[in-house]
Amino acid sequence: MPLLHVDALSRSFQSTRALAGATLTIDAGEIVALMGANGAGKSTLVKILSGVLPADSGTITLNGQAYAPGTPAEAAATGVVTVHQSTDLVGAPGLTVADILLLTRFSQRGHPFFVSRASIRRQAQAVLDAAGFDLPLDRDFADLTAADRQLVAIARALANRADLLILDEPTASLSIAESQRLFGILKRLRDDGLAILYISHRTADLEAIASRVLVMRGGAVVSAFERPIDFSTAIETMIGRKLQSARPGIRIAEGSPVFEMRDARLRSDSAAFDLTVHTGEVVAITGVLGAGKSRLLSAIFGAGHLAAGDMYLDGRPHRPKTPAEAIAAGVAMAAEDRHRSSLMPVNWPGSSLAATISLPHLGKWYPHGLLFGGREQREAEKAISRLRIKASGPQAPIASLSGGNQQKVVLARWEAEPSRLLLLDEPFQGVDVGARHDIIQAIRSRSDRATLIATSDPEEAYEVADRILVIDHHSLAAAPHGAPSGLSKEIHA
Amino acid sequence: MAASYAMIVWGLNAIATVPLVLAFGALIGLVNAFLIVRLKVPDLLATLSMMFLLSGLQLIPTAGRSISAGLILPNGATAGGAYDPAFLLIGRFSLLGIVPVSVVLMALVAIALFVLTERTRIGRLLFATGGNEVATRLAGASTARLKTLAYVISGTLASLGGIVIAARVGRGDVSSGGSLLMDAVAAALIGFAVLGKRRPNVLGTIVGAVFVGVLLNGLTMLNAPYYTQDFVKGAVLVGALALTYGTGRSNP
Repeated sequence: MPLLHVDALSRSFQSTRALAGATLTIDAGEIVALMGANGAGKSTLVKILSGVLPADSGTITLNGQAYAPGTPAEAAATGVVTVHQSTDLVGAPGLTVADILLLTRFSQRGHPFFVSRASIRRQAQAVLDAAGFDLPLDRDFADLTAADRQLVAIARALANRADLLILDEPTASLSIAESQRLFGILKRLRDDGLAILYISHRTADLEAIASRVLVMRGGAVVSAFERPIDFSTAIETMIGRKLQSARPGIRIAEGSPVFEMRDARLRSDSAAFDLTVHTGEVVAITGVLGAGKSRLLSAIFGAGHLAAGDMYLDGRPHRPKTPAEAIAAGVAMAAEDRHRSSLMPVNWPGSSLAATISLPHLGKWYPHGLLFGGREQREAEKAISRLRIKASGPQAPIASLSGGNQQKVVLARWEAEPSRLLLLDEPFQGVDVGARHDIIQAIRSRSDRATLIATSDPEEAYEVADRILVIDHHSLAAAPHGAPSGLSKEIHA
Repeated sequence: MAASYAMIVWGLNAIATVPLVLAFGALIGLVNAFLIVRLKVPDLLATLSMMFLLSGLQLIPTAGRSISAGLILPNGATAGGAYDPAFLLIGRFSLLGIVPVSVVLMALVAIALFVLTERTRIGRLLFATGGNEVATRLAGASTARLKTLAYVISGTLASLGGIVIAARVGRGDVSSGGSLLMDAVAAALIGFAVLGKRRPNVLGTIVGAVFVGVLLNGLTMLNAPYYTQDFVKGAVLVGALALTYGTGRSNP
């Protein structure tokens, strides 16, 4: 009898079916990897299993009993524990490792009111021993490495009897050595009879530890791969078509180099790399979360800095200290998470569509400083018709637009004035398929500049770019010129 | 205090005193900006501790005494200066016998700030910095400079307010501005709530200031005891905040 049996599980959000009859089984003592593109339903499945969301229909059996947790605490009590991707939220600065390990215990009603340091240490050590980890109990949370935070989260999850451990991209922010250590621990836990559901895009990780790979697409588990795992087929199944057939008209770079990086290091301990982007070229950089995509783009835009190396824009040294300097030099960036990085709060001045577009260009469009005249209005009208933005007009509040249309406005902001190099960080976050198509067309229609796109989704990279580079552990892997056969190889990297 | 000290102890006239005091206010704004922008002290803590520092500092030159003509200094000497009559006119003269100078000043400041905040590039960027600082910096604006500007404007206007009080009272009272902190906060927060803007705005702040002024004046005319005033102000403030944030949340 399998440990966990999920049968025809479905869940819809308004009109979208996030999960459409997903079926899978997991046995005790195996590590099952779950792959799937954005929106394939992985996170919805995890949320249902961990008690964050209820399912609309379908059944889950755990240890032969019906399982339908109402809260994460209930799921944990039944033996299903989840460690989420973001480990910053595991604890808080000022708490020691021992405190964090016992947080769940402290929040139980029956816990004694007074606690002594000695008893905390003793109990925390027992939790660590149960998981088989070795961590400094007195270390402050703020001083822990990402890997140690991950281990603290896992140890706490395993503090109570657990049958199934769900890990969401656990190696995203780990170095290779740290990942290896984690894998060793996971294998030992597996040998002790724990079932692990492991969600990741990193084929190298899956190769190392997965007993089986399940691929999700369109809210269902579409195929399963036993060891030895054929990752090329798995990725093609995940994307839903042959890799070769999906390419846009590739333009091999023939323009002059717009932007170059030489011997660049994003962190002092990461490997050096070179990067060249040509006029009229769209280059995508793909890699898992935390691989250094945003750090690379921020460095080019002057919002961060390189640990070492040189940058050249049109052959001249490019060393922006602030985004303002980068913009003046002809670099534009639409950063990740548009709400945090580009948009104003609801009802705030400057939260209209037109003002969102004009924000970086106010100085150029209104040299006298007074906001009179319809320049902003006209530019917004141009953008609305060019990018097919669905909005009631230039003064529409940006919050009233759909995610795809908001993203179009952010793109329009940086296309309103000519630039030499446009940087787009996760430009398809929360963007529906139709809007994604419009945005890709808009990006690819320009030949007067170079475009560098960072995305964690290889499929998106594949749809938009002439050339795909893979970033891992803060360094770029060299990749051939957009050769389709290269993609699966790069994803393996 | 600074204005009175400049005239009574240093013997300056109104022409020299007013710019000096405004510059002192701007300097305090700069110090605030330095603490907040450069040293990254949280804004509320920085300005609050500067307030303690300054209200303590103003007691030192006069050993805690209020300043009026014939002030005896801590070293025993008698200050020789006097209030410049021209200075006192700022607080006491009415144009055409109806419109007090202080009201004219308020109108001028309000118009200037209205244009600045609603109709200029700088105003848009100031609001943008307050609304989403990350986005504003990524759009190429220097948020450090904008914040410094805001604190300098704030310091200068606060010292203008001080000049008006000193000119009206005619002496440098050590506690004359004390109750005005809450009045100013109340005016700005009521301004937040009225006119349905749910954001700081000049017109709303004027409405708030008039409201607080009428309220206090009304209480005085109703013969309400002076010690009830703080309670009423506090109640109005709590009510305005509850309205602003309570209704703001239900309408995301």
